[in-house]
Amino acid sequence: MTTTAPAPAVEPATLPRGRRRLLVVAGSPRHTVLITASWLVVALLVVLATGLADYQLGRVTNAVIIATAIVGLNVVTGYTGLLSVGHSALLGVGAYTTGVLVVKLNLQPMITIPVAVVAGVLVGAFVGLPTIRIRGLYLAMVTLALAVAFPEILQAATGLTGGAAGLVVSVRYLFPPEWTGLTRAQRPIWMFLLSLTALAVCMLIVWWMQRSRLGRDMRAVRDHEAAAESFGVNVARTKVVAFALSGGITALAGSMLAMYVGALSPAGSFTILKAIELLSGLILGGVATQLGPLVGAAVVVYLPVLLAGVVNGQGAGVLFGLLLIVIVFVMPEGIVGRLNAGWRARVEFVPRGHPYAPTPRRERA
Amino acid sequence: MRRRLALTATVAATCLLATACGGITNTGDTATGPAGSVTTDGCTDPAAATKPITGAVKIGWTVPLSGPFQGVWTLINDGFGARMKAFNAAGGANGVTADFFTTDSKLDPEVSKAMGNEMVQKDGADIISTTGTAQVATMIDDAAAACVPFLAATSSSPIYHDTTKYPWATLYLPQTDLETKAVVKAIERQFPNGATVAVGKSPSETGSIYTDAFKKSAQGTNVKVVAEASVADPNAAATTLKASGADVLFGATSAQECLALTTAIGRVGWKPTIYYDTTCADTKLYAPAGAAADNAQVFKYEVLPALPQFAGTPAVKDYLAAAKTSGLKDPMSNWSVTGWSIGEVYADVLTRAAKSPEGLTRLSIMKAAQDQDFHPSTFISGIDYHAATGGVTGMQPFRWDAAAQQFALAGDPVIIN
Repeated sequence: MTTTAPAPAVEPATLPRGRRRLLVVAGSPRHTVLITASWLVVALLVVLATGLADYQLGRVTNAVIIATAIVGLNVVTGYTGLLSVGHSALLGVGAYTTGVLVVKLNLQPMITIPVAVVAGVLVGAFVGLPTIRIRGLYLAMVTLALAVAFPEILQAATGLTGGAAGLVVSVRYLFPPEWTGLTRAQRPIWMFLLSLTALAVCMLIVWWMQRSRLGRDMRAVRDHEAAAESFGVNVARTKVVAFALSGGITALAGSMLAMYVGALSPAGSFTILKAIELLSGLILGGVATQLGPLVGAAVVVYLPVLLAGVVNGQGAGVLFGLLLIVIVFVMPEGIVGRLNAGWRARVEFVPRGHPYAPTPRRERA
Repeated sequence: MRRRLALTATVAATCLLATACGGITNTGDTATGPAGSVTTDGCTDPAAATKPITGAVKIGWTVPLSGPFQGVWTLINDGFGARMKAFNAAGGANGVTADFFTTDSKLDPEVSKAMGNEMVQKDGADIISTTGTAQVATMIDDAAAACVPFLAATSSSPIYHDTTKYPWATLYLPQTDLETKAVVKAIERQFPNGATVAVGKSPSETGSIYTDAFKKSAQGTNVKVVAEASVADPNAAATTLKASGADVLFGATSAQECLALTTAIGRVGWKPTIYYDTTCADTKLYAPAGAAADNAQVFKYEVLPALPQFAGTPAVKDYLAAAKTSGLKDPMSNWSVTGWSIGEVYADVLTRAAKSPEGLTRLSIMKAAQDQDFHPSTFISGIDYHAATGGVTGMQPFRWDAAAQQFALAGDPVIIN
């Protein structure tokens, strides 16, 4: 007769020596506290922002809008690995859709938002078509052509876009709707909350997308296109969908920009310089990171302002350029990328049931 | 199916939201009171608009202090600052002095908007201004909503000259269409049997607006536009325009672009009759081009202090003396004269507003600005500044004399406004 010895109790694994970090298990009370604290900080920041002076809140709104546009750029350049320098045009598509509908058709600005997004999706998908055949620098050239051509198209379509003189969305159309309970004088708060909502929705969509099959396909295409195709990823569709999604998000930012600035002109916010600004924001913030666009937008909006207070005139531009070079040199993964690395060195996130995760007491008993 | 449902729900929610916002179309209520009148109706802070200004009236400009137009605007700022110093030295407006400050617009509409609001809300500016059509467009409504006078902004777009739509703003530059009509008339006089024109166009709003206005002015005349090229690459533009064989080159260009285009046409060996817009009216934009700039014509409304025709006049003598006292670095520069002339407009407005029954307030300043009709001392005789009809009332043609390295009169003043 053979007897089998009872299996020894399995003890939870411990972190190797030298890798002692704060362990956070998904769904654990610690995790819940961290998540709750993060949301509280965000809520506090929003409340604090609404208390800012109007001109300061205006600048925050501008940064939020730029962040939304960078979120759109992040979809193609960050998650799908397709370099685009034509996103100023997609921003312009959204802005001019709102501008034209308000000025020419007398529509309410709010109703133009979904139309602007649809226009952005369509133009984005159209721009994405060449990506089926080309990539890398060649794709950059195609998107560059879009960025350069867009202001010219606006100037040529004088009847619709106002040509070189542009369009003015009168401030009387941009007051807060009555249902908000905000007064006309609180327009800056309204614009801030509207832009922030747009940004939050876009970030949520991208967060969801990252976790979906589409997100996995995008990353696969970015990391190794041939390998992705061999594993059954429809590369062409993934690229076009990425551009369409990106176009929609960037056009939403454009629609917000039209409402914030109140005036549109071809030589204004939709030139190649704006495309470079968006790309700089993405790289500085952190490519393919969730929070990178926020940090990148803050840098490109606020850094020139801060430097203008230090150095006058041309010197501020030179100093801005130097600082950008230093940031990229010191933090090639972007500010958020570097912060993420530092965070991961101190905190270990593990899913429930992971060997490092402590076993719940009831199971041990 | 679930996706379709989600999409339908989203569209429905959007429509509901829009409906909650008060319908699909806009209502026609106004923000700044009855059209054409200057009132505080719709102001975010009406009390600030009628509060008497004591001590100093703050004047904030956001203009390019960096980038390609930095040099031009440094001189204009210097000229304006010197005129304000002279104004203060003369006692200001009933003892209220002018406190002038500038911020860098970077010629960027978003930056200009932020700077405009900052100047009003943080720095407490009583008057603000800017340059460039896109920048004017982004700031003009904000200034009206805050009921802060937006004075003598430098845009030539006809849109913003409309005081019925923009009662809280006045512009300094003459309307583009009026100027191009004067240019077309001058060409017709020079070429009675008709002329062909090639347009060198700045890759900016100024370039497009001038080009469009010129084409419109030429319609129905015997002046025909036969070619058009962007001066982003001046050499390529010169080659393209030369190939058209046009009799006349019209430069719809700004500042340094004028010099670059003249130099380029000299390089390709083309000698058309040249006309430039008023933004090219400075000796520094012709002298370096040498013989290529000879006989190039431009319209001006401010005096050229170095010209013998103006040098001895009491107005120029007074200007040079006051400029010296105020420490103006380069009084002979046409850009300095421009800055000084804008200062004349401000000084007149402030003086008249201070004498009004309400005293010096933002509202009285705006009322005085809307009624302004006077002759700035640095304007050419016969040409005035009349705010209600669009600012500058006339222009005089000048031609560049390459041998003398100076402008010379090329005709009598043309009243355009």
